[in-house]
Amino acid sequence: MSKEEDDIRLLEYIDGQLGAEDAAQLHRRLENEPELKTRLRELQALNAMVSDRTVEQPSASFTESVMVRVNQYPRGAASPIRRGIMLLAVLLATVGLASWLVSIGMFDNTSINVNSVMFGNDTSRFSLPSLTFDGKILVNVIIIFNLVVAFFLLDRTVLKPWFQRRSRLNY
Amino acid sequence: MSREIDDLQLIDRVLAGEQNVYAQLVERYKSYAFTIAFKVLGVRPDAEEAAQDAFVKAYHNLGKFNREAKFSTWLYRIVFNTAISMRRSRKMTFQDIPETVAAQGHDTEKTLEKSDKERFIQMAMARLSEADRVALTLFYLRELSLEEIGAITGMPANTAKVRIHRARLRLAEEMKTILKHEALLL
Repeated sequence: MSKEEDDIRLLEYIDGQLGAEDAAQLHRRLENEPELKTRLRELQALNAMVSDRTVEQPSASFTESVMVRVNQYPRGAASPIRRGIMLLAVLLATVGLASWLVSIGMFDNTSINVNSVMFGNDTSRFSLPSLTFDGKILVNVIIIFNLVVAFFLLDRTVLKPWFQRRSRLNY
Repeated sequence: MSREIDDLQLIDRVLAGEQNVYAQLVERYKSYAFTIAFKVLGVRPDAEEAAQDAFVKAYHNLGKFNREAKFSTWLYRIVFNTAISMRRSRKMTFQDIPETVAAQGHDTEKTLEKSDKERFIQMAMARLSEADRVALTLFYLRELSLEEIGAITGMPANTAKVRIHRARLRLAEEMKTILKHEALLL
């Protein structure tokens, strides 16, 4: 029997896992082999030294803290991610529609005169310097603004909650 | 009534919507969950955080729990994995673990003896591979069977048994080397 096999047998003996017949055979060997007996003592000493049945206690507020976190994200609650995705979809659909209208030339020859919009022609005595916006540029600015909002929404209402949820679920 | 059946009844109530019943499961297993996390991380605040994270993860995955297994084994596996991930993310080494020794600041001879003993064990443990350390740590808690240790660490029971036996022998050799070295320094 190799030294490692002997060692494993001794460990099983220490753990009380050796069958009666194997234990009796080991006893006989221990009486005749002082080296094996010394090795048994070494392993017994190590076992006594390392065995640690100490059960550590967490803080008194442990359960309460867990339940606060559990209640924060109850099981089966409507997912904030789903709401975020819906909002994002509506925003992107609006951007898509606006882009399509721009691409077919819907706003090509349109301009908005701020003076006439704000005060009408009858109040011309208070007229301000003429301010005219190109409709196409205005819609493009609105599209870009919506894309920025969509990006922000994607981050805050979809990606961030998704990663938080993934870290809660992965184990 | 056995604890396993009782656990299943509590789980059923949680799944049926009685969220606060989960507190009973937390109360029941918090000590061992915390102990496992503490054995892996060695620092109380981190162990507390890891154990709490594990309970929250277990809560959200309760529907996936396989009822043929013990809830405690399933939970401890989550605790173990969470603590291991935390240790890796914080790049802690086993030698960074001071608390089990440092927490005993009394100057009695007995405490010094105990802290020396724990220091030597930590030194010897630090020379083992991570998988060996973890398997030994769980084994020496003396609460878990080899099958349970295998289930927690994701190893077949026989592999866990062989790994633990070999790790114990390696630890014995390391302890001998360390104690010889310490004796020479005296």
